[in-house]
Order: sequence, then C-alpha cells, then structure tokens
Amino acid sequence: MDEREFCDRVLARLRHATRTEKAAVRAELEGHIEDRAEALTKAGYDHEAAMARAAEVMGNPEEIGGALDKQYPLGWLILSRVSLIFSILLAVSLVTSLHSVAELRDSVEARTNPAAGLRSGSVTGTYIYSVDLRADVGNDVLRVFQLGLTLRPDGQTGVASVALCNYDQNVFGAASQILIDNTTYETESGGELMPAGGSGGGGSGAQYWVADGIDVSRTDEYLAVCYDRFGETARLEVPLDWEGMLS
Amino acid sequence: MKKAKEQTIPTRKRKALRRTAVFLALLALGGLFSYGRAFPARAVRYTEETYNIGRTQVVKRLLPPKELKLGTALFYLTENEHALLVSAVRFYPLYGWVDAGGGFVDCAKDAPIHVGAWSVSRMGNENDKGVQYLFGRIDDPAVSSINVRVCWRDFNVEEEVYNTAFIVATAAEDWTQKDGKRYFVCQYDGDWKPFQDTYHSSMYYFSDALDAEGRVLYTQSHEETGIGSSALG
Repeated sequence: MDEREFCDRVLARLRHATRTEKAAVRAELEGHIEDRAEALTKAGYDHEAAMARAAEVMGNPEEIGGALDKQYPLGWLILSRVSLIFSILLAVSLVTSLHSVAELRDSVEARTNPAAGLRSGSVTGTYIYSVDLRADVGNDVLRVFQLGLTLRPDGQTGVASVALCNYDQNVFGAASQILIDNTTYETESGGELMPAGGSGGGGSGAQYWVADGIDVSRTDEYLAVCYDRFGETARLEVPLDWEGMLS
Repeated sequence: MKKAKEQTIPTRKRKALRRTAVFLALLALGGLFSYGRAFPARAVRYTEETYNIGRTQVVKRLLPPKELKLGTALFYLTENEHALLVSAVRFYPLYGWVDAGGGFVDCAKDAPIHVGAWSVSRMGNENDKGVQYLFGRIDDPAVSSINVRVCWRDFNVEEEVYNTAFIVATAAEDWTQKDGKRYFVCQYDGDWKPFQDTYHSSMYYFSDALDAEGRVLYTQSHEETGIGSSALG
C-alpha cells in the first residue's frame, strides 16, 4: 500500500468533510508519512520502499478514517454554510440600502447643522437670523432654527417665516412623519395663526418645514410654535428680533 | 529530518460559531439602522415612532384577510392612554418584520368614543381594491353600539352637505374589553365607487354613539376621525 492508496482509504471514511477539509487531512497524512519515510531512507531504504513502509506503519486506514470522521459532524457544517449564505445576502442588502445611511446622516445633520439639512424651501424675509429652540415631544425633538422677518410699509405689521425640524431622540430612531404637520403658530396679538404657505420634506432621519407668510405685529415679542397631540404638548416662543432688523 | 507539513485546521464548530456570530452582528447592524426586526412588536414600535404616539400595548392581533394574499403579515390594534393605533407588519426572510404604516386616532380629547378608518391594500393605488377597517375605543360605558356613517360630499354644489353612502354598525357584544375600556376593529365591505368621483368627492366618516335604546349620545365628526392607510406591496 503506497502513500496515495493509504490517504485515499482514509479519506473515503470522511462522510461529511468538505473538499478543503479533505485536502488538509491528506496534506497532514502525507506529511506524517514523509517524516517517517525520511527516517527510513536514512536507515538505508530506497525512497519508494521507505514511503510504502511508512504508509503501512501509520495504521489501519479505515480505523483512522473512522476516528477522523467524528471530527467533522454534519450539523456544524450546515450551520456554518447557512450562516455564511445569510450573512452574504444580508450584507448585500445592507450595502444596497443606502437610504439607511442617508437617514442616519439626516438625523445627525438635524442635530448639528439643521440649516444645511433644509434642502427644499428656505426662510424668506428682509432680515433672517438663526435661533435654537428645542422641545421634547414624545420620542422626538422639535427644533426651531431659523426665522425671517419682513416689515410691511405701514411699519406696524410684518410677515414672519420660520424654519423647523424634528428628529428622533435616538439618532438611529425614526423621526415622526406627522409632527411638523400638526404644529400651529400663535402670536400675542393675533392668537392662533395660519401660515400662508409652506414647504419642506425629509425622510425617516429628520423632517423639515418652512412656514411662510405668518402675520405678526411690531408689538409681538415672540412667535410661538405649538404642538398639542396625543397628550404631548410643546410651545416654543421664538423671539422676534425687531431691533436687529431695524438696526 | 523533514518536518511534517503543519497546517492548522480550524475546527468545524469554531468556524460555524464564528460565521453565526458574524450573521448575528449583521442582523444587529440592520436592526440599528431600523431595517427590519426579529419580532413583529419591534416593527409596531417603528410605526409608533413614525406617528410619535408613544409606546402602546396590544389590544388585539388579527390575521390579514385572505383576499389580500399577503403571506406572512399581521395586523395589530394597540393603544395607550392618548392614542389608538392600528398597524400592519409583514415578514421578509432577510429583513425580518417590517412596518407597513397604519392608522391612528388621537384619544387625548375627552369624548365617549374615538373612531378611526383604515384601508389596507397591496399596492395602494386606485385599481387596488384593498380592504377597509373601522376601529375605535369606547370610553363611555353607556354606549352600546356605534353606527359609522360613510358619507360622500359633492363638491359641485356650494353647500357643505354629506350624503350617506352606507352605514357600518358595530355593537358591544363584538367589542374587546381591556383595562376597563372597550375596543373594536371590524372589516367592512362597502362599495363606495358609485359615489366616488376623483375630482368631486371623497369619503367622510361620522360616528354615532348609541345607548341601549338606540338614542344618539354623541356624534364624532369627520375631522376627529383618524384616517390611515397601508400598502403592503
């Protein structure tokens, strides 16, 4: 029995070994046989006879194969392959879902630089200034970050434009898609007001809105952005900077 | 002496455990990016966040109607003190349970009943028939039944008149009790297409709360009715 026959008979008993595993076993067996053959060659055997003799003294190949077979249980192979397949599929789906990354970007942007995140619509007015007012509303944060003022020719009334956004308190969480839709606006002089119009948008990471054409008076010190739904209330009083506008 | 060829053979068990750990890590990463969840309740949580109604508890779980052919999907009626939510979740093999929107009613206002309407379809377009549900919470123990008038309004006329297309009735014996309140969710099959003109009308819901003698105790207006829809694709 030569080296090759010995290895073939051992590997024949490995029922569930993969091709790679069988190649590794063969390499290891051949290594052991070659080590023994080397010693025999030094003792005077010719190479072929040494290899054959070394293979014989390795033992019964069927018994060796049977013992090795226990090291390759089928269950672990199935788990390994199933995990690999699902991991590849899941990784591909995660990579191709760039919107998830975009949502995270939007969520971070709404926290750090909301003006940059406002991609559709913009605050209008002859005087535009930044503010930073926030309120926790349920799982979300409602944030007002910019205001625009225009004074009418009468010098006593004006129009305000306000930019707001909302995002989930958890940076990986989903921003409410309806919070901003349900905000209302109030002033001291006008009570609850309806904006003339608005624009905005966003995704699951953050929602933005610019409310335009809100009538305000020179005597108003603030414009209140309000929310009252599902037992959650919020009121952000945005200062109207008439002095800054006129200076 | 030639050394035996050394080759480290990782055990099959170690390899399997390592690959399983990688798969679980990817699953967790997907969950972190809100990309599907291991349990349907987590998908409902996402719907709660989308509507910002807060954490809710399950009142009833329903199987979707067979005509929608949705495979593995579930409908949930959930509630908290201030809101009632009906939502759909669907299972996808790689993603897990994914939310598909729903309908909600703001129950913060003190009223005997809070009723909502919810339509569910596969594709969400006009040609997709879908199924319709009404759902609600009954806070007044004197209410024995509810008649929901599904109305249409013709915008060709000046007056604000609502014409009843059909009535969906639900009674106390069909309601679910939970923590002293009563809830209902019912599928209805009303054909409003004869009354629906894309340019001139849409459906309006007015809900009459009736006592045991059939007297109207309260009417919820259309503006107070929560309207929602889900397209499960």
